[in-house]
Amino acid sequence: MPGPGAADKLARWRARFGQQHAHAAVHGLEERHPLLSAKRRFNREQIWVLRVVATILLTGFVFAPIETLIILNGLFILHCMTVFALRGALLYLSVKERNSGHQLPQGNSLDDDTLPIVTILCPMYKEEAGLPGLVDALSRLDYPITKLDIKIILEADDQGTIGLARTLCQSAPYDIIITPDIGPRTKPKACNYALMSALGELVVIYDAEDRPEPGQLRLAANSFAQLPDSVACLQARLNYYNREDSWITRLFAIEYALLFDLVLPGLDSLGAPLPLGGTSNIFRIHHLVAVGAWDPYNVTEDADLGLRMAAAGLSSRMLKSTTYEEATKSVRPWLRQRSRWIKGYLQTWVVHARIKLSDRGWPFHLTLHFLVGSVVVAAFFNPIFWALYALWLAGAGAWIDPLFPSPLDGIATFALLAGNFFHIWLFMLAPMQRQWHDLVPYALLAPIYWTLQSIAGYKALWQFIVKPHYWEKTDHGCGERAATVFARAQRESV
Amino acid sequence: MELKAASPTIALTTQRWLLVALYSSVSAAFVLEANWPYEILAGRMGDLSAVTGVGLRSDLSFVLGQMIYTLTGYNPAISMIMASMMAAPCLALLVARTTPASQNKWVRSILLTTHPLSLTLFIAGYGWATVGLYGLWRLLAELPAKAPHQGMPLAGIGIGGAFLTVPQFSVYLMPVAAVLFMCAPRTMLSRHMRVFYLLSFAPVTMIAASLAYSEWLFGGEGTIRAAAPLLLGGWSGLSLVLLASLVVAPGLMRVIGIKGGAARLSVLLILVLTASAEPMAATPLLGAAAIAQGAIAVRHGEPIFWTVSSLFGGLLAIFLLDRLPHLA
Repeated sequence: MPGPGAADKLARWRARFGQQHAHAAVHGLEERHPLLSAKRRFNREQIWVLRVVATILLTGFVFAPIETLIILNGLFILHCMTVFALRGALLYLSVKERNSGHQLPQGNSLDDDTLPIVTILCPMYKEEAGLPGLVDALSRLDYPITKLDIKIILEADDQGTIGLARTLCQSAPYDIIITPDIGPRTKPKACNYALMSALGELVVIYDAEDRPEPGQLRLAANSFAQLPDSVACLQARLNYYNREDSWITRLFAIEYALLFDLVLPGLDSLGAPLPLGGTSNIFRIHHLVAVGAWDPYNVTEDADLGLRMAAAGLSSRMLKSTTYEEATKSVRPWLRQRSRWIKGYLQTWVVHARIKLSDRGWPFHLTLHFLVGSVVVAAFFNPIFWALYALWLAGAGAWIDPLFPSPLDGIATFALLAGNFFHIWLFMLAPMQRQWHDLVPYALLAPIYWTLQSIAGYKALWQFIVKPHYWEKTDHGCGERAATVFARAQRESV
Repeated sequence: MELKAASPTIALTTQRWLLVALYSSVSAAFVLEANWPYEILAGRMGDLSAVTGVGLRSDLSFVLGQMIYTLTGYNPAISMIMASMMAAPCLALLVARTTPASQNKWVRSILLTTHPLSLTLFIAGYGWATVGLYGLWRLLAELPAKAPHQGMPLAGIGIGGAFLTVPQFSVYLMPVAAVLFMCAPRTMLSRHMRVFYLLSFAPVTMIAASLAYSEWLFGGEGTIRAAAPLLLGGWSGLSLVLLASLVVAPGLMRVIGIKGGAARLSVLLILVLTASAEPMAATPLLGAAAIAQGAIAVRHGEPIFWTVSSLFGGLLAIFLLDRLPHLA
């Protein structure tokens, strides 16, 4: 924690080096690893590959349209079947991992004096309403206050939040940082800028609406102390405290339970890279800096960072602690948020596909193509195949039948039925882990949720073409008080 | 369900003697080269000849038999036996995996797999049915000891797996539901009944719906779609209503305020017996009897004992069904 007068020193230091820091925050990754920056949508080789593929497809459509469509059809079905098998394997692995004890080391090996300093980055924009709730949640962290360095990161034009922050966060361990107005206005740029003045050995991001479990940082610090240095990040589980608000928050909570309680622990036990969540990922700072920190041009900088760290030979593990967040309550904001995520996944997929295949192991490709990539593929292609199916049911079979010759027809039927039913079944299982039994019946609404996902997918595709680095901000309210959130969580776990 | 009112000692003793009798008779039949396994196989083989290359079946032995027949051109009997024998290593593995290491699990596994009764079933074309039933019983048996989020999904998978491996499993579905209610965690039944139904029966419903749809799509013989009328329309009138009641029995009993284990058990038995009194008289009755053995053993028996008795209780039902077709 900064000592007396440290705030003035920091201010002078920022005034002196502010320009360099801002430049590094925006261009650092791009200058060090141009291939890994999402600033350029495609590199030269990728553009060539796209041209060749487009030419082949065009030729195919002109000279053998049916055969070309059959091949595309087959590829999509193969992709679906692989994702289906992968999900099944991850479910099995996550259950096995829970039973076999393949978990992080537990126990408090560090006392208060030996705990490392943790820098908490809290990027915010126009979140006056959320700031008091966050300050309250941070004050409940079971971590010595002298070992905390909390950066409240704000934009210069957000006078409302700046004013409130100066009232609520005026003394140590708080440090208010105003980001310079250069480059893209994104959360990763803000975090990169704040990282320049981080004092901690560990760094974590919490958003304004986050309510981390009080023991989270202590658990992470103790785990890091017992883990090898190659473990660069611990990802806490995320879920929502306002899941009862509407049908969409319920489905959102189910989806997060599936991702953070089943899929990611499965990947963890497989040793595959984790596409990190947006908050509550605790890093060893030297590794974070070494890999170039967050990509300011990528709108899912978290997933990208998880893959980049894996590519550098580092690993991320799941931390058995939950951060509760506020889910978007209605369809419109959900679409805004989801379209940004899918656009970011598309950016991440494209960026990491530039690297030579042989430079990464198979677990890397598993995560990249069948977890990150599959979200994009499913969002884009599902509606096309459902439309074909609806037309076929409506009697347009004469021209659709040739696209599904035997045995593709049988495999496609299997993928349609088994794939959809299996994913609905996964949606039913996911909330059971947290004993959220009341959510289980809502799994039957999953197909509606997937339809919305496709709408968001097409919006994401449009934005990827016209404004790839635009950060579509998700609006949140003031959020629930941390005490209420944890009291409820405790009741449910009994 | 409160089964603790029954005397564990009596239940165990009776079951042990029943098992001894069963083992002895089956072993004797095997040693004396009784030909009824081959008679059963002949029936299965006849079915296979009738459907080779056409349609879909839910029974895994059948599906594999059909594939072997189509791929190799062996005669249907050989194809069926080969398909059925493929289940033997699976049974051995399953038994080993579900037996605690302290109990000589591999010895136990080999003994069970090579037991005359098991071998007879493999030769008779019921290998996968054996695996399916054993798996189901193990999952149901372990249900009371597991947390709901672990046990209930597995029970659902067990029922779905049995549907895919046991011929005409839809007939057993009602008795299985009864046992499920006995084994399910109490909190699920008292507070989350909807979730209980969803987790237990969603897989089997999804599998059945998928197979029925595929059969319709590809113009099969209607064997799978026929299962639905068998389950719902096979029992007409009053018994259909009563069978439906059986599925919701615990909830129903709560609503009408019947309390106490013996009273609940009586209601359940009356429902089963009444429901079985029509066209499908013997089948559910035998199934329920076999399943009840397992259920009683689950609550009162020793782990090894209930494993064995559950397995053979289920198998006994299959045998009786095939040996005494006039009952069905």
